[in-house]
Amino acid sequence: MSNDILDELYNAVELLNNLLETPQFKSFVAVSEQTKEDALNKATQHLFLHNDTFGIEAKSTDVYKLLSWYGYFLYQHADDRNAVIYLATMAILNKKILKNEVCGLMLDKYTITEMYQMLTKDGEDDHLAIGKNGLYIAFKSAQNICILKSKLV
Amino acid sequence: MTKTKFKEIFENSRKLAQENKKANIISNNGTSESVLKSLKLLSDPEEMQKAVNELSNDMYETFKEVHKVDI
Repeated sequence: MSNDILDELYNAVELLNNLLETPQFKSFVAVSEQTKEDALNKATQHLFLHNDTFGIEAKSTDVYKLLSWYGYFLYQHADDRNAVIYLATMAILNKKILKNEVCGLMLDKYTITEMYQMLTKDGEDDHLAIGKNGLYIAFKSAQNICILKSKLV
Repeated sequence: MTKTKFKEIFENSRKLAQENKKANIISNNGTSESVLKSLKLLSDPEEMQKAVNELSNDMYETFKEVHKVDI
């Protein structure tokens, strides 16, 4: 696995951290530096565990995995838990990452809203929830469709 | 979070994982070149701020839609 995309992965994580600091959303969620570090620890450990368990070796670290799982663990560790963290995570995954795939695909607002509502059920009504792995694989599937579609054109 | 701290945490997790690495490997797309290019742009503080502004507006719209409230 290549080291050289860590700068780009860092930018994706910082974009999420910065979004939570905007005046519109800052009052909803308190995320300390320690919380960010704890969440990144959990997310990276889960990333390597996932790859090891399923025997996955990628050309580069998957930003869909890192961001989905960082956002999830940030929510879990936040001093003041608020689902705004999920909104920020999905906004980046959809409009900054998926949109910049070769076909420029994005999920529509209805699907985003449904996914957001399913995420907020995690830990409360698990039978209605999507969870961290569901969040990742939903966007990963969209990326795969985009890649396949671009090969057909 | 500083970039140094980010890399330190990432590399620590990688080292821990390597001790248990299995030989069974399948391919995966990882992060696309086009996505990497757009993420690289965020190293410029102006581009980062532009992205924050765009996405916070998008988040606000979804928030209003779900919670039927204005912030």
